[in-house]
Order: sequence, then C-alpha cells, then structure tokens
Amino acid sequence: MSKNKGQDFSRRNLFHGLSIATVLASGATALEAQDHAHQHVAEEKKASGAYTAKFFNPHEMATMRRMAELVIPADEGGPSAADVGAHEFIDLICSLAKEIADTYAGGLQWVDGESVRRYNAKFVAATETQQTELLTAIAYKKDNPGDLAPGIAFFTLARQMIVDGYYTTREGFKDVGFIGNRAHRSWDVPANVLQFMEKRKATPQ
Amino acid sequence: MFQVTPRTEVHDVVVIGSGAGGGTVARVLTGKGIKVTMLEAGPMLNPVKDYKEHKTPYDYDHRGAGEQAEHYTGKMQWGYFAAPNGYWDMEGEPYTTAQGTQFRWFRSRILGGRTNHYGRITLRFADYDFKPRSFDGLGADWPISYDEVAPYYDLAEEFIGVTGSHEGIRSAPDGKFMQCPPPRVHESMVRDAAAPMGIKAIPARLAVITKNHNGRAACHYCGQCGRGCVTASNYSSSQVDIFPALKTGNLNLICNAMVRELITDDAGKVKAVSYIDTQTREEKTIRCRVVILAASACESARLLLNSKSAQHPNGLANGSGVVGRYLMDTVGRDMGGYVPSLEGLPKYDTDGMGGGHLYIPWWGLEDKKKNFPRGYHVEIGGGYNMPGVGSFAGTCTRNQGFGKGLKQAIRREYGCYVGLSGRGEMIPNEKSFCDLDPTVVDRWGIPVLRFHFEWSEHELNQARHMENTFAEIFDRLGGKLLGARKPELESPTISVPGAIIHELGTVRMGNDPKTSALNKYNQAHEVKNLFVADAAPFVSNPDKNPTLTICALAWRASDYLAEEMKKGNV
Repeated sequence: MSKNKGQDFSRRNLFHGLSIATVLASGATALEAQDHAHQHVAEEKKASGAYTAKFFNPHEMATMRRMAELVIPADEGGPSAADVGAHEFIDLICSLAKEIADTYAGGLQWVDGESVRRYNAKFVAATETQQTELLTAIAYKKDNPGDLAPGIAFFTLARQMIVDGYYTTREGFKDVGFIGNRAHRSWDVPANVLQFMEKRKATPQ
Repeated sequence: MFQVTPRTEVHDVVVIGSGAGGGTVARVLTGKGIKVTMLEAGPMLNPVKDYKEHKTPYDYDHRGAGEQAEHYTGKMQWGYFAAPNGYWDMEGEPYTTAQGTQFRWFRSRILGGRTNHYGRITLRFADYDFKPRSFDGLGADWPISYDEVAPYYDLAEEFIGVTGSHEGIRSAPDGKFMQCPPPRVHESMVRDAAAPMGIKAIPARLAVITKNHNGRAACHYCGQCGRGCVTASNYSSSQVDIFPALKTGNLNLICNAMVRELITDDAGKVKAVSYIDTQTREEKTIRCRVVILAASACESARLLLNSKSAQHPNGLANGSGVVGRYLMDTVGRDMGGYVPSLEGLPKYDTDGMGGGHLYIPWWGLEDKKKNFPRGYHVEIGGGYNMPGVGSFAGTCTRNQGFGKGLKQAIRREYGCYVGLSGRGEMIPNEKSFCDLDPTVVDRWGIPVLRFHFEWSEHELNQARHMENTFAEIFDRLGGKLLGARKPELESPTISVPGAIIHELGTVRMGNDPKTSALNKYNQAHEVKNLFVADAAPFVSNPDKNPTLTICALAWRASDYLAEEMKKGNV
C-alpha cells in the first residue's frame, strides 16, 4: 500500500480539511447518492431468499449453473462462478437483450442435443467426465471447427460471460487481487513491491 | 402564467458551448464583472447523479454491461462507467462522409462537454510548434509565438493545477507544476527499457491537483478521472470554470439550447443568436453585443457555414473560404503487449491518478534520418485495473479451454499487459476538411457536416515509426506485442481520422485575412464582435493534446475582448 493505508470512502476522508463552497456545491452529496446503488437483485434475494429467473427456464438455469461451475471451478483462490451466481447474471443479461437471449436459448439446445447424441443424456444429466469432454470439444478453438461450429460460437460467448460474471463480484476482485478503488492521501509504490522488482532484476528469469 | 420577457434585452457576451474554451471564457469574463450568457446544446451536469466514480460492477445487476446489455450487443459507445460526455453517434444528429472518406466525430451534449471525461493530459506547445512553416517548410505559421502565449500557459496551469517536473526539453516546455506521484512498476519498466534507445520518459503532466487548490480537494488517487471526479480534483470546465462562474451572479446559463444560426445586422456584425430549445423544439432568439463560439472545432465551423447572409454569402467570417478547411486530427497508433516479467509481482493499488504517471515527450527533434516531419509523444498504460465486463477477454481469447487452467491463467496474466499509445502531429492538407452536406439536415433542421479526410505519407510514415519503436520497446521488455488494442478505431496502420478526438483547425487564425478567418486574438477579421475560442482557431496540431492551449488562448482572447469592450471597440 501507499504510505497511508487505503481508506474506505467517506465524506470526511474525501473532503479532508476542506470547507470550501465550490467543492461542496459540486459533489459533497455524491457519496450519499452512491449509497443508493442499483441493488435490485440484492433486494430481491433478500426478500425472497433466492434469485428469480427472468429468462431461463429451470432446466436452462440448471444447465448454465453447471457450465459456470465447470468453466470457473472452485479452487484455493476463490469459489466457483456458480457459487457467485454467474448463471444468474447471464439470465439477467438475457432479460435485457433479446439477441443475447436467443443465442443462449439456441446454444443450450445445441449443447443438450450434442450431449444426447454422444451420451444419451442431456448435459446436466451426463457424468462429469462426459460434460468436460463435450465442453473441451467446443472450447475456443481457432482451427477446424467443422460440425461443432455452432457449439463453439455459443461457448465462446458463454465462457466469456461466465468469466465476466465471476470476476465482476467481490469474490472475483479478491481472486485476482484487485485492491484499488480506495482513497489515499498520497500515492506510492509499496516497498515490498519495489524490493520484489529489484530482486527479479538481479536474477533474470 | 404568461411570462413577460423584455424582447429587446441585449446580452453582453453570448458564449456558445461549455467545454474547455467556453468554460474558460465564461469564468474569465464573469470574473471581470462582464455579463455572460452561455448556451449549451445538452443538459445541465449534475456530478452527484451523473458521475459513476467509485462504483463497482457489482453495484449494478448488469455489472456495467449496460441497461440494454450494450456491451454484449456491440452497441456500447463508451464504457458504462465513463462520465456522460457524448457519443460517436448521436440519435437524430448525423454527419456524413464523402465517398472514400472515413471520419469519426465524437460529440458531446452536456455541460462541460468532453472535459468531463478527457484524458487530462496537459502539454504546452513548444516554440517551434507555433512556427511550423519556418521550422520545416510545411503547414503554416501561427500569428503568435510561444513567448506571447507563455504567460497564458502560466495562468492556465496555475488555475487548473497540473502535475509535472522541470526537465528542460525543447519539445516539452516546462510549466507551473505540482508534484507528480511516482511511476507505477510497469511505467518504470518502460522507462528503463526505452532509455538505451535514447528515449526519455518523464513525470506525467496531467490536470490533476495533488494538493488542495482553489477550494478543490487534492486527488485521492482512485484512478477514475475518466468517470468524472466528485471532488473536482481534476480539471473539467463544468466543475472548475462554470460552477464557480455561476456563483458570481454574472453568468446566465441556458442549457438544452442547440444553436442554429448567428444573425447579422446590415453592417455585417452579429446582432443575435438563434437557437432551438431542444425540450420544446421552439426556436428562440437572443440579442447580443458579442458572440464567442466555443462549440468544438467542427460545430463552430458548421455554425459559421450555416450563418449565411447578404454580407457573408460563404458563411459568416468566411470571405477567405478557409472555414472548415485544414481539418486535422492526431495521428494515433495504440499497441499492447504481454510482459511476463510482471507475473508474480505482489499486488498493489495501481490506481493513482487517472492516467499515466510517466509519459514520453518527443525525443527525435534532431533526428535527420526519420522519414516524417515533426514527432509524437507516447502514453503508457497498464496496472491492476478494476475488473469489469470484458476485462479478461484477451486472456480468454489467447488461452484455450476452461476450468482451473483458465482461472489460473487469468490470475497469472492480470496486470501483466502494458499499452503504448503514440500521439503525433498531422500536417494540414487540402484534402482534409468539412463542409455542409447539401442534402442532409439533423432533427433540428440544421444542415449537417460532411467530412473529407486523407492521411498523407507524413502521417502514415509516422505511424510506422511508432509501430517499430513500440516493437523494440516490447522486445527490450521481454514482452510479446499483441497488435492494435482498439481495432474498431484503428486500421492496421493508423487511427481512423477523428478517432483520437483532437479534431481542430477549421476556423484558423492568421495575420492575412485572405488565408485565415481569425486574427491573433481569436477575433474574426470580418466580424469584430465575433470570436472563436475552441480548437478551431489552431493553425497546426502539434503532438500535444489541445486542451491546455484551448484554455490559454481562450483566456488571452477574453482579456483582449474585455479591453476592447472597455475601449468601446466592440
């Protein structure tokens, strides 16, 4: 961290020592306004105890949940994308844009169709080995998509959106180690970082 | 209730536009006790509501993808968290391009205009930048010298608050600086890699205050200047010029006023401004003593071209025919690279100021071997930025598969990308200009601009030089170059004209009324009560971002105008 420990935003910290009209006129109430963040889903979850699907049917939701769990699984660095509701985020996005919704509806049908063709079971009902095998076949591949092209196109988007759904959460921030968005009185590169770089320079990789 | 307004009221000075030029003029003139009426085409700015500073993606159900998921449908114009400053495309307000021409025009319709969002890079033009034709025989000289502008650079920097250091580099004149925070790790690495190439990186010159200044709080280093700053710790004309000017009681601000035309009297002077109230679509007229156009270079040219009269058949102040000509943008080439030696670095808060803490001013002034005139500066990007939708798209594209491997790749690659952006000078040419489209009007019935643009070999060679330079820097960093970072705004070789949003030069100043529209005080040669105070008066477009020079020249024009008004000349 910088010389001063990062502080959470509060009026006192941001306007330290100032009592000038210009600043107050331009933004003193900003922080109060920010407390009213869009928290629709959060409120909804609080009220009902669960997320209510806005586009996916229960089977689609279960399929997306499983896919999210496989794309970003839980490990020592953080929970799975499913644990933080990446599938719910995708459902919400589908409810906002019909063209995205169509892609998911068709894509999930394709995945189930392919799963039934290969394993005689829909995706959620297949074994973990089978699920992994199917997703591996359609995971981003530049060359020779062949018959799998529709699946590849779908999974390229779904994989990206699962990633987005995970890393745009508190847990995702923590996973990659983002510690910014704080108020400081001064800014500097922390000593441990500088020492690390000095050491690395001395021993080139 | 029936509202009675005196129809004969004459406004002293009407300023059209509220960006860096309009804001400066309004502040300086109202400070002298002059009554100013400002017309802004967009709405009032409310930083409390309009700025998304300190927000995180998880504050929104859509995580920043947009209320119609625009990020995923390809309709996102500018990031969701960016300050509300305008768009590439505006509903109902088209522009056209001549056949074979590409041009992007980023316009703003809100108080403060593009200053709510801009990169805050604050660079003085150098001595030779004002005399380019004398320097190398290309383009045209300004009617003013560095020494004439320098006192206004001092004033503007002292007022705005600019970081920097004293370096004694000819291409980057020193100014009145505040302390710049130290470089981030990736910036130090670029500095060290470039040094053996004879390229020197120096502390950034940003319009960010690092100590309390004129009632504005010092920067709190959240890195989010581009979202708009609730503490006004960076420069925006809305917060730094206009809100204080409103407090003088001398500024009458009229928002949602899209100006259609400047109306002249029999003597050819401007007597009134006609505008459309965009909320009611009613046309209104206000009478004025002086008009200062600061609507942005191309809007100002458009307005002059649309203000035709018997005395001014080619458009107002356009006897020379130069209005709309000599349109320039900045030469842009952005390249990104992956730098493995950043892997494993202990995570730290890289936010700092919104923008680089270092930059590279032009180093090649004495280089006789280069195959292009003038030069460019380099901006450095990177760091542990706040994750958002699309943040890891690059990593997802370059790493196949999914599962734990993908998760580890994202963890490993986070913050290891470095961007280099070259921003260079374009030489004005006859093929690059804007005129009125003869057939298209916007939703207010105002004829729209048609753009014509061509990069010359000067610019293309310069962009290639950027590419080669960046490739060598990445090589020395042990990094892997990844090519253009913004493909939609960049062809394989050079930025799309207009994409750097430094369009200017369309109402140029000069000593000769036959080859320029304005005199050296931004005053129209032919219309003494008409001034232009945005970047339209620029004679050249050096490799320094235009905002500081807009502010300095607008300040200088305001001082001149105030004296002329006092003397009764205007």
